[in-house]
Amino acid sequence: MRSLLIIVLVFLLVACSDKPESFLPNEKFNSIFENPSEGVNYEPLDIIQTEDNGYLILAESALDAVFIMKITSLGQLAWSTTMPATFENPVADLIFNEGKYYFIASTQADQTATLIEVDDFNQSVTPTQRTYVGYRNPLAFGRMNPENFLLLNYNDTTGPVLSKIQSGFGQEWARRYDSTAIEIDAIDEIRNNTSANFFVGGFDNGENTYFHSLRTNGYALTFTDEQGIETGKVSGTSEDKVISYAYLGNQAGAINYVVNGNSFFQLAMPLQNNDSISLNQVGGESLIDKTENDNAQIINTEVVATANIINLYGTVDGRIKWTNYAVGSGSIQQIDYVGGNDPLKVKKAIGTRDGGIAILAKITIAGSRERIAVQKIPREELLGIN
Amino acid sequence: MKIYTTLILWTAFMLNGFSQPPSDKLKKNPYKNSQWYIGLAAGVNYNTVNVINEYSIIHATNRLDDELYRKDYTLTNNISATYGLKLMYQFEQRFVLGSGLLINELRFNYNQELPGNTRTVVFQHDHHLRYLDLPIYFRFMIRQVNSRMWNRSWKKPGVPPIIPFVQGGLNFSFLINANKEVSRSVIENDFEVQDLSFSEDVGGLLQSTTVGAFIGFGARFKLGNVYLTPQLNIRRGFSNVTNDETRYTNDNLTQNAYDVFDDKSFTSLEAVVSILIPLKYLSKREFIPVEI
Repeated sequence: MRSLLIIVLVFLLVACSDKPESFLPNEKFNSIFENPSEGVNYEPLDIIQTEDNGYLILAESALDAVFIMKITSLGQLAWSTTMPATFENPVADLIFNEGKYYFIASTQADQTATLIEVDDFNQSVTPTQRTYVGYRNPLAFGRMNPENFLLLNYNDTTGPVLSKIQSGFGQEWARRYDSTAIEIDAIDEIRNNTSANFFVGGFDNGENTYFHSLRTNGYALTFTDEQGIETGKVSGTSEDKVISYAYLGNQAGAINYVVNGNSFFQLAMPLQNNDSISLNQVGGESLIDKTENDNAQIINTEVVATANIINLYGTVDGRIKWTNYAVGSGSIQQIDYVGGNDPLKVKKAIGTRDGGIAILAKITIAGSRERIAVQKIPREELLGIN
Repeated sequence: MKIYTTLILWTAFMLNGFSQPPSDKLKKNPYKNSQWYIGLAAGVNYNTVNVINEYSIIHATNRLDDELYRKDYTLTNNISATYGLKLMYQFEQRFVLGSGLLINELRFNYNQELPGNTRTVVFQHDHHLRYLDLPIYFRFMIRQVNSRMWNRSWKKPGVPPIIPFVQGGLNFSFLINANKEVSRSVIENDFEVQDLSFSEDVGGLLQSTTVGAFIGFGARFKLGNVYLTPQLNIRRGFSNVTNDETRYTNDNLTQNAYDVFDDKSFTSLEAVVSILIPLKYLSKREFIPVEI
């Protein structure tokens, strides 16, 4: 009997001990946000990681309504709200300032750009008193440097207008770049077309800025100094377009663009002051599997203390392909796809604090339901160590 | 590796039991005070799922709609089989220590819907898991204890031909394989079209070892020199069967079926019949087993 008990005890020890598992990423999730009203289709616009490592998502729902959603760090819904119909056409980016999140939307009455405040703690979304009267049709909002912001509008008579917004959200200056404008209908058409993103940003602590908009000679990525004076431009014909841009430093940036219906990615496009570069001259890698009318996103991030550029775009088979490049060498560290049978289109992608990335996408389920999808890819997968 | 170790220990356990009889010189012959049994067991089980933490890829855009997208664990088609070897050691008239090596197949299923006014999308998830079970349990035979000096008695003791019993113990389960079948249907105007169907090995998404407990009751019927023991057990898993580190690692499931496993354990009701053969005999020539 004693030997029997010893055997039982040994067995229990063996059975209860567990060998260490090989490392597998757990900071990963995949979430789709559904609505039982089939007609409420969503157009995701922007995602930002919140202070509690969750994510705030800005989207447009049916009839241009402003939809804000907070999800947890594990991709579960925390709260959401749809703004009253008095505001519409929200634009990216969501920005963080002194504990609150902000974005720009238009008033329904006259399309005046209005600053909207998101209080994550109190789960509220409220329009501020800050409206940019006379600056209608907002196209993009972004950070110029840690203190200031940039607002890109499309003026009815003069085309794109870039404004510097101070930390208190007062307007410091505004610049126009063309003497004539394109019909505002064309802007609406572009805004409703997912192929071209309008965006704005700054680098070198705001000494330089860039914005992408439709100008009199077609789509152009325009560079300016800190006062908004144009210093360079990358443009093509009216059919060509810049899709996305990320400044890398040393007067070079990564760019996704389309020329003659073909998509390209240039990891390091050099820029000199007063350059006017034709997209035909930019060169780079031909993205033969990219859908021309799909968005592409560039993330300038750090993965394991090395500078990396991750380029994401929609492929012809309806998935999202991401490629991780080492900035210094330009070598590809990892390539992978996300998505399955239902078409998935990348809308925005950001680096996360843990070295991973979060992808905001639109998924069309069963051919008709356009929904918001968020996927978190951990650092280990970006490096191919799983 | 753990399975092999367990098998070796189980074999040692068996061999230990069948060592040569103790000395007959003892006044109270221990050889006649215990009995080993080996046998076959087979039965059916009905499995239910206890959700510990819910995980889902599909969420509502509004908290008020959360319920619409919750996984609906079904209570039908959850019947499967259990079968294998049993080993028992009766060391007292009323007490038996039991073990065995059994294949335990489990089924569980759930549906998840994306409801709509005109089109509803339904995902159906069917699972078939196969575990190697190693139970360790005590059985209490509900009978009167016969007080006698077995080696001085000239007549065979009166062991009841039918003895009811209750039992309880631990169950160690080692996952052998796990398979999942997924189908997606779109229902529109009462027409249902299945537009996606595939099968997936989900062994990597589950813990390789789980522990549980069970209690049950039954009866032992003497049929000649063998015993038939029908029994009914209820089993409850202590631990999460889902491997939380690999939850999102199956791309086919996450990207096409929009599915990840909940943290969960199982409760199952099983009806098993065993045929047990005694291994210790008073006379091997005449096959007279030791009865205590």
